[in-house]
Amino acid sequence: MTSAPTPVVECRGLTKVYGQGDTAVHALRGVDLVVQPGELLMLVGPSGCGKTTLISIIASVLDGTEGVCRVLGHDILHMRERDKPAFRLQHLGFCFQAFNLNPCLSAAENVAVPLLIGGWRYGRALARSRELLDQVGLADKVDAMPEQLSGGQQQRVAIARAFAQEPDLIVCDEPTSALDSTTGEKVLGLIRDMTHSTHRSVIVVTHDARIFRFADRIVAMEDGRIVPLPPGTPGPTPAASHLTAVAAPS
Amino acid sequence: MLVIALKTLFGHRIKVIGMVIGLAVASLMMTQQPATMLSILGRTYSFIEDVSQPDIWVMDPMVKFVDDAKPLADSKLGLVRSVQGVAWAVPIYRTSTAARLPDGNTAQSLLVGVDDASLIGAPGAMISGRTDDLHRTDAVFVNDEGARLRFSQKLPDGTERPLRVGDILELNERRAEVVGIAKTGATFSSQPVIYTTYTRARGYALPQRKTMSFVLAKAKPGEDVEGLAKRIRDETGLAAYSAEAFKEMSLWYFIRNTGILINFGMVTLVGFIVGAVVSGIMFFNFTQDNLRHFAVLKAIGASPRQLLGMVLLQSFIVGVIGYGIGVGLASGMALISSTFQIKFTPALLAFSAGGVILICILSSVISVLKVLRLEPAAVFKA
Repeated sequence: MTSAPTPVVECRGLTKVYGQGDTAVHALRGVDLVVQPGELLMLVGPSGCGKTTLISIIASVLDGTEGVCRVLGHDILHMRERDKPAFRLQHLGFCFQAFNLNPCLSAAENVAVPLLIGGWRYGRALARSRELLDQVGLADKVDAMPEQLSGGQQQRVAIARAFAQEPDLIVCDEPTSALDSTTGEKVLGLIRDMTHSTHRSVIVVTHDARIFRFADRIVAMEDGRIVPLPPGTPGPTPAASHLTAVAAPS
Repeated sequence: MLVIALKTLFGHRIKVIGMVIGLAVASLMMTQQPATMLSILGRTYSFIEDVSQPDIWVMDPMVKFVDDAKPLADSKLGLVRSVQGVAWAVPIYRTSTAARLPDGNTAQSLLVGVDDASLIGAPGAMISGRTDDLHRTDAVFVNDEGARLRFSQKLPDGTERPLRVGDILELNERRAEVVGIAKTGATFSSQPVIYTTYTRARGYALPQRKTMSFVLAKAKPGEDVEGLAKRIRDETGLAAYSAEAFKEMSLWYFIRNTGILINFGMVTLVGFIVGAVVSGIMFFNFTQDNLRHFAVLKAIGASPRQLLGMVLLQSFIVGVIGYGIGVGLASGMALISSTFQIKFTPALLAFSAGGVILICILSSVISVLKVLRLEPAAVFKA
């Protein structure tokens, strides 16, 4: 009998309250969530349901109010502020809705940003960036500036950047919302392929139903809580779901 | 990280140009104005500096600055020489006189008569001629600036040439032959300076009962200069100051009585403020425009120290460029203005560099606070 793998993310009774008293806003109301190693989890729900707040806390860029949130075994809610940057640099990758590429840096330099922050030498970091851009199909765009790239190409650069320092968990916030459907599907396909080939975990926040089929598991949120998926929600395709079923927390 | 900082900086060319212009203007004004002021103030005591050998200047007690020489009776020279501790004492004579040039033009000049035998009081550095040449008949030296500017002569073809060795001047209808061009500091009034021997100078000047302007005295080896100056004061009833003290006295007279310090100081301050405001606003705008990218760096894992380093490097780079351009412009202006010598001393350059550094620090502090307070979660907002 093999023991169950340690979850990459484990949230229990996680809450987040903005403000106090009468003006308090309960963004998360006791969220339970587990993300397994190698899993591509999609977090879906309407705007304002708490998806972004939840991944912000998981990514240690926002403090939770109460509950437990463990990422790779680290208690995020009680982690010292000064330790968070190094934790994020070492373990997390980010992929944003607006790509957030630096317009003054070339594609390769943008990919190299996490490596340069981590103290890599410029030349070595660029060599690694070229490898990653090759993997995302942009080998011929290493010197291109963001303004010379299409939206899909920019998001692929952002994906390469997210994978640059080989993080354990990649957090993607609406990665396809600024892309047309074909490009969006290509981008998600790329994220899924890179996730599975490197056995990393990915949380994708989205409300784009067209890409649900790329998920290993889909978790729905509403009004700060995890809720059952609405009937008729397109689910993961069998080909996409390579994991054994993981019970969705209530 | 430094590469990211530099590429981000130079990716915003218009803002960089704005910041550099602000700092260059500040640097220019903080360099050029004090340099001009120091050069003008330096003229107030250049005559004392040009006479390098004596330790002590003895004068009438009513003298307030070097150009305020009041005639002393020749007998006072003996009194000074008799004071214990004085190695030697020589007279020096200063007066104003009109000089007629070879082309018939006249120019008001400062006539200086130095000790006939020792030539103490004559300028130490010569551009042409030798100090000994002053012993020749009717010999005079003219200072370089005077020879080039006020004593320059119009030639028949319309061109001008400076006064040269061999030219003949007329001082009170008496012949004076230029035997040397001396390298001396410019005078406050930019008058040409004519050096000759004491006796000859008395002959060139209008007859006066008292002719000596100062007594230049040297302390014996090991003698305390300030103590000797006091002894001369006590024993002769005259005023006596060390060369350094006399320089300071002349300098402060002009500072107190001309408002020069306040006027130049105000312009320098305005330069600092303009530079600080322009550069500060531009740098703040630059940081503000890049807040999202700073937030991305913060989210990815850049430490506050790294972000601080980036902002300071960006600030330092525009500071160096702005300072370099400002000082370069100030030097260019000094070169163009050949009639007015401006000196850029290391202390002055350090002063303007300090001003630019202060502007950069003020500008970057505001930006750094903004960056350090930035919530990395802002990256998840579209």
